[in-house]
Amino acid sequence: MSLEPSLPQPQAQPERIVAVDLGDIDAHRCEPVAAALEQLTPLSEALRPGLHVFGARGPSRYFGGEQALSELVARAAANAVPSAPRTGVGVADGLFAAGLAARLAPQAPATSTSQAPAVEERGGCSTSTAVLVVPPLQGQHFLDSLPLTFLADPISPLFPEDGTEALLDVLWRLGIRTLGDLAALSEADVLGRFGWPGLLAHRLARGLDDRPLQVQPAPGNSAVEAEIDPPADRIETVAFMARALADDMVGRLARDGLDCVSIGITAESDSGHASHRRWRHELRFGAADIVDRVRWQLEGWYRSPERPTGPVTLIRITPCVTAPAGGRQLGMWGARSEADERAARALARVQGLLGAEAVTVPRLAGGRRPAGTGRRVPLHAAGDADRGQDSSATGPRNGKKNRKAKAKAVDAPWPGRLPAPSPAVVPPQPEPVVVTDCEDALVTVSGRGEASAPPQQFTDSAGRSQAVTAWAGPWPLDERWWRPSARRRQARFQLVLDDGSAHLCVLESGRWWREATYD
Amino acid sequence: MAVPSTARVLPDRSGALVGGAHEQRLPVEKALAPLLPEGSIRRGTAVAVGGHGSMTLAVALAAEVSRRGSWVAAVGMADLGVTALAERGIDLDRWALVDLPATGRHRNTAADVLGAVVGGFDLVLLGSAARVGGATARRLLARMREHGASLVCALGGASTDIVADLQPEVRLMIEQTRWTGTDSGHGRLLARQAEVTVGGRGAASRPRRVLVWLPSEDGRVACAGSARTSALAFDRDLEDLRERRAG
Repeated sequence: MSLEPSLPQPQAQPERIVAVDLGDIDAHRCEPVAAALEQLTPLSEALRPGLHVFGARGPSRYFGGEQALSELVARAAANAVPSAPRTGVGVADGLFAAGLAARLAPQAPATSTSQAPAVEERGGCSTSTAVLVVPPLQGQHFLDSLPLTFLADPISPLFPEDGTEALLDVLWRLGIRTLGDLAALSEADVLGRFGWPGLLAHRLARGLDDRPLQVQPAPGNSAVEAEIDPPADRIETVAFMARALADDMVGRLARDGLDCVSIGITAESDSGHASHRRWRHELRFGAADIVDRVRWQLEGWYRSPERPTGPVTLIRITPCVTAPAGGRQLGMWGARSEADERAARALARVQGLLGAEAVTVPRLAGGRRPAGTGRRVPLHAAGDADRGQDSSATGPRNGKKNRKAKAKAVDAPWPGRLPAPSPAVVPPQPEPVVVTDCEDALVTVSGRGEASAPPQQFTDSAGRSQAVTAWAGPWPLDERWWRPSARRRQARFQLVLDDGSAHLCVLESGRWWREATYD
Repeated sequence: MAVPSTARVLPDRSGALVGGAHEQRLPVEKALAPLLPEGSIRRGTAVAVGGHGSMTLAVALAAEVSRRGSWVAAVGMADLGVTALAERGIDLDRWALVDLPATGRHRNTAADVLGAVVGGFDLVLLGSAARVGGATARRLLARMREHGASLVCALGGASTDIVADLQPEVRLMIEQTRWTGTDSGHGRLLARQAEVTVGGRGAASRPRRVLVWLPSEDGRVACAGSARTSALAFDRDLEDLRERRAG
């Protein structure tokens, strides 16, 4: 590969894209990068803190070519976050190749790739800054030697519910080790054997990532905003308001059958400062994703040199949309039949009436407790939540560890999980109850896992009492004992009551809860 | 306006349904056939399931439809256990959960939601949280007939009367249940025997009693006699159960 000036490619598909990769950095440290990029282009977007992208076409002309532009960007990024684990800038056709180029730029030995390195050594800081410009239409050559596993990279639009893991596994066993091996197969064969996910993987491997960077503003007045009165001085308060806004917006777009792939978030403070940033999602924003972005943006804003001196008074979210590519909402359920279409239309209507979060799909997950083994995933976010590694999971401390539960974990053994039959009724929140013995004393469990006395009386939170006619347990459950803050110790009982109903009750820290009912 | 017999006016647009558009009934598992007239659910009608175990039985009634590739929606069942769904053999990829707003001022919304759902799904499960009565129920029934959708109401502890306005064709009241497997601290819940009173309109108007495993030890929801587990043992247990009730 030789260093070439950017050739005008008016019809080039996919678009030339600049990606800036700073590794996994905290949200509050990404604001300086966004601010620095804003000096170069108004259209930069963040996929997550530390991964920014923008279209190369306009800025590269202005700054004298892609190489010059990316060196400029690399210097700006390295200056903005000198302590980032790595700083790489990649330019390539399409998001996928550009993202991987940025990822690999710091590792690419300058001599062998004959790229012009811009290694900055400043003041004892050993961060290497590197740029990797993949010339137009050379995307496939760049991707050829990369291992197949990059298809599961966060930048990739391939999600586990499309069977990515199984797909990669099969390809590996067929002796396909690199993206180049995959690209060498015939498209028809791949489509015939692996269906849609295989075709998408094949197109990615050939450097044909056609996710458009240019998106349309949503039709009509889809922007949502809220005056915050009294002004909020805590990020959580703003995030809470943003949740309602995001629900509303996502619901309305879903009703119109539109995917929101890019959003602008504006926050204003009562000191007259304003923060405007653009965020992009690999596939499609759900309400929870938007709230994450709001949180990240505010964290960064309040720690930046231009931080506002007052609380936040206004939050506005402006969506940019694309028509869903091949009906993504249905794609996750597999084949599109007429019944699928009917159901999807009905659900879109329901989401319009109740908000996007009101429709969920059941998913099995690994876990020991009833609430953990089965989850309800919002319909519009089902794809994201199914991903083993989604964009928000790489975000800073968002506490959604359970979203990392992978499909594999479902079949994994979970010692301590109660065998079938499983309770048919699992309330979202356990209900506080009282379980006493024949002397009206609360039943407790000793350190050796023995009940203090047989349970005799069960009183629910409404005060209704019933005799316990049969019981089993206690089964101890000691979860995450290796992390004191997350550790949970419970003793679980199955109680059958006088009216024939059976319940799963747990004793935790001296208190009884009804966790589920075998209805 | 007189509505002709529902079975004949089903529009063809309800196509891609179980067994094709001409099918006027939704199948249930063979093992549950004794609970329903003709062993299936007539399209455009409601089935009410009450008593402890109604959630398990309602889901079990939907299992065959789900397995054959139809969509099922569960409306107003915020507490439906996902693992139990999977154990009933439900295809989770074609199952949607719709939560209804809790407060009363959304009653019209709830009616609109139900109207939308029955337009898109062959079978809709309705939780006890969704109270449907009066004009709402009549509109919903008309829409169910138009689209060939059926409703299964899981009423929990409530009586089947609360959905009387939906004119349930079949009422399944789970009267007596007994769990086996537990014994003062030992064992675990294994199986449940239930006595179900079947009533309703038309072919189901003469009440009768059916014994049902909810579930049996091999994990199936099945009428006694069709389960692989011994029906003899069930009958013996039932005698036992009646004695206890009498004494």
